[in-house]
Amino acid sequence: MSAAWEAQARRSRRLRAAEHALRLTSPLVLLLLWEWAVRMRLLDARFFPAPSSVIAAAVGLARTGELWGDLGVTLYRLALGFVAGAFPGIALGLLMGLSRWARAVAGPLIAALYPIPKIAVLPLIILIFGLGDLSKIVVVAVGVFFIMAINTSAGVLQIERIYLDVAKAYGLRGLAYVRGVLLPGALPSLLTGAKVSLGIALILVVAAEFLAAKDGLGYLIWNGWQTLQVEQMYVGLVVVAVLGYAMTIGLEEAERRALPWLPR
Amino acid sequence: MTSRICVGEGVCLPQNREAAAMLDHRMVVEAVSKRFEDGTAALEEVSLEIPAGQFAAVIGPSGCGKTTLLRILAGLDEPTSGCVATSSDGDPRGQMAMVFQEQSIFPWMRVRENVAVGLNGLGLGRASIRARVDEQLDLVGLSDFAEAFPHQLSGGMKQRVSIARAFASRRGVLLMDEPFAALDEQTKIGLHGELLRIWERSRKTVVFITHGIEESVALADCVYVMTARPGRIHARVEVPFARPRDMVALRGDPAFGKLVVEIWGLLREAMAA
Repeated sequence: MSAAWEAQARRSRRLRAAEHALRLTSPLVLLLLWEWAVRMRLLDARFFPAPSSVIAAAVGLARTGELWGDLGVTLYRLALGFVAGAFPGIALGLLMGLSRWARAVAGPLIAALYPIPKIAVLPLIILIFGLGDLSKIVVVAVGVFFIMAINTSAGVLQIERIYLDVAKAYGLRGLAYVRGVLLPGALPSLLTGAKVSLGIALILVVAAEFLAAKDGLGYLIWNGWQTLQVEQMYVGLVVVAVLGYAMTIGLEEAERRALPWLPR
Repeated sequence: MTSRICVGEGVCLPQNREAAAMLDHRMVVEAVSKRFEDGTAALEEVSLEIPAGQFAAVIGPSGCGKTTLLRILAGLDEPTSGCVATSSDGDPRGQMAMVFQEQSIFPWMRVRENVAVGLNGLGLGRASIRARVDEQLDLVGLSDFAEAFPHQLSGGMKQRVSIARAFASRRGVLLMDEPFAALDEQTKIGLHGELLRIWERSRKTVVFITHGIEESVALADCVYVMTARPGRIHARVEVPFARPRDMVALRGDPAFGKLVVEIWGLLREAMAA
């Protein structure tokens, strides 16, 4: 009985270890294959430079400080834009969740404005806010705002009726009601909105830097293309990918901490 | 030991008059009717007069508007006509502590915070809130779970938190909407004993909605039988058993079985009415 059980436990441990190893090795194997294919001239190095030369370019860009400068500028625009869009979005979402009048007023406007690709509005934003950091921050904020407003109001609306009844029966009003019932009840949906909008924000900031910037990761990629420094382009792409991955991991950790009450 | 059954007029008195006299939360429901927007009549001229400190049970066929009645008492729904009053001063709504049928404790709050929900806005200091919460948690035997989240509790424990929340608010009237309906029989009878033990300390006026005849006889001083929709009061039955009651011994008393059968008969009449 216990021997069979141990064998089963051993088998499942082995499977888990194998799965983990595969997860780590599969990208490595792909990179090695890529390197090999370029060296064998099976891949055109003009379009697909070998990983080793991309790493060399990255080291060069890091030494001159250019990479860190661009990364810093992009993070600055991303963070300010996210905060500037998220808080008004959450506030409007709460209001829409609370009041059917607010829903009647803001609902159609959001439905009409949300689907406009924000990057298509960039020329107008540049016209209003100029070519500096502000226009990039604003385009990110606009993208984040809509997603947060929509997710927060949906989160409030899907709070089960019984909890609203309890709040009413025990006289929870005003700030105690918002902090004790509405915000925590809407929080799972709100955090999903934060994850989605952070991804959108990264896309927006890089795209805006393509079109109208002299620095930032988007500029690094665009400049690499314009000057035919393909390795530099790849460095930019990889850094953006790593940034996105790190943000996802960070938000998932934040979510775990913010929602200790969800059964897992 | 005799039981008095009165159809129509009549008021039942609580067993312990002295304890009742300490309180002034007599509950009066006058000709309450409720018609929903789609025109269905849920309640028709329901009148109750529950003396302070009495434990009243309301039973009736499912869909008879029992829950609607309780929601009106709690101020969660408005009656179409009629009124609800308590004899003490102020808004009756602020005097009602409700225990809901379904899982109703906030999943995002710890047990301790859930019990303190009704203490919000009373101007109590942090220390006295803590003291009241600790006292109630101790009474329902959940002191060790004060910092737990609801998903870590069983169904019976969650209902105990809900009961602790109602008693912690120290409101004069306790409204209970089939609070034990979702629990298994053993847990239910255990909780009956606990509820009565806690209730006997403060003798709140109780309106207890149930579809369990045995449950109503075991707990209440007085049982109201409602008709099928639209709900009307069909009969009022006095339950004569002395308190404190032993939930197991009580069920061995021949008078208990006799009363259950009597109420069965009334319920059958009510469904035909």
